[in-house]
Amino acid sequence: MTTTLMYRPLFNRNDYSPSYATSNEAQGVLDQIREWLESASRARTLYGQALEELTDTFLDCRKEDWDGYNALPVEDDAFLRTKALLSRLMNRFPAPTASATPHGSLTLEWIVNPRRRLMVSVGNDEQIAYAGVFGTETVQGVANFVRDVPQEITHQLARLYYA
Amino acid sequence: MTTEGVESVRDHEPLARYILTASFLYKDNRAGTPLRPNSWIPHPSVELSVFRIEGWQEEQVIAQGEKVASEREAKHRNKILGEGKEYPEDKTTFRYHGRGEIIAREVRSVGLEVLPKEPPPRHADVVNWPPLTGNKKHDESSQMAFAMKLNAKAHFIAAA
Repeated sequence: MTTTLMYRPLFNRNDYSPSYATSNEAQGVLDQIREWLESASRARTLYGQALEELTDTFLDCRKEDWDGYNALPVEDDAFLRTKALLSRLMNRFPAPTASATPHGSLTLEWIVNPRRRLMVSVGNDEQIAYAGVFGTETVQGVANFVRDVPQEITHQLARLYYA
Repeated sequence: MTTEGVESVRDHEPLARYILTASFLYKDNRAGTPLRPNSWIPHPSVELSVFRIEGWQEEQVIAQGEKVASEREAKHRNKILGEGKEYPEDKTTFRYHGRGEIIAREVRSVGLEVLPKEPPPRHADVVNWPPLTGNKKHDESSQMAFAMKLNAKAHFIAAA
């Protein structure tokens, strides 16, 4: 059995001729596209949950002393910056869990297991802090986040999930 | 600073870090401890407040946690009311959610120290955190690394 695969670009729709592919390979491509779309949909759902958790955390921790031990409040800028970081990591790595630190920062945390995890802390300014555990090794550092995800963070995440 | 006249903390002593906000707990049903590493970060001071619970019955440990929560709640309520804002009688911001428990030896094994700091009775501080550098994010990354180590060695006991 053969399948017809019709390609329609999302952009510049006036400047294309439909491409019809009819082959077993086309079925394979179609299956892969379906799989990718389902995967993207699942990722959006998972990241949606992470965003919801991030928003809840922000609302819970925006007042001074939110932890009962004199924590600093999480400010609007920290929330917006963490949200931006989260959106830039979407579809690249599994969705993190969100929380806050007594420093008044929001954290995104990726956990493979208790001995393999990475925390990234985002506050009001361009610097973000991270700390991770990779078995017996601990890493920590500071990176700048203006627009693109810092290389240090993607490196540590890739190490966490793909090394 | 060690409190004078109080016995130093021995290696085998269990210590309790009381959790007063659900923000320090994972909300999903993940395997392992529901306690987040963030709960072990000492900010704004460089001492982490714990209680020495050796020899206490479970009821005494819980009672101390509830006392800490109620003191923080009263302080918070008075502050809000002092600002002229409303704080309904039935509202509670802080309550005892449970505790992270860790043995003093484990605290020392990661390079930190535990020293008695009374009053209140049985109170102690986890100290020897990396010195503050003036760079907030640098300090935070160092503290997070230690907090992750402590969390890996601790276990959580939820309030009933």
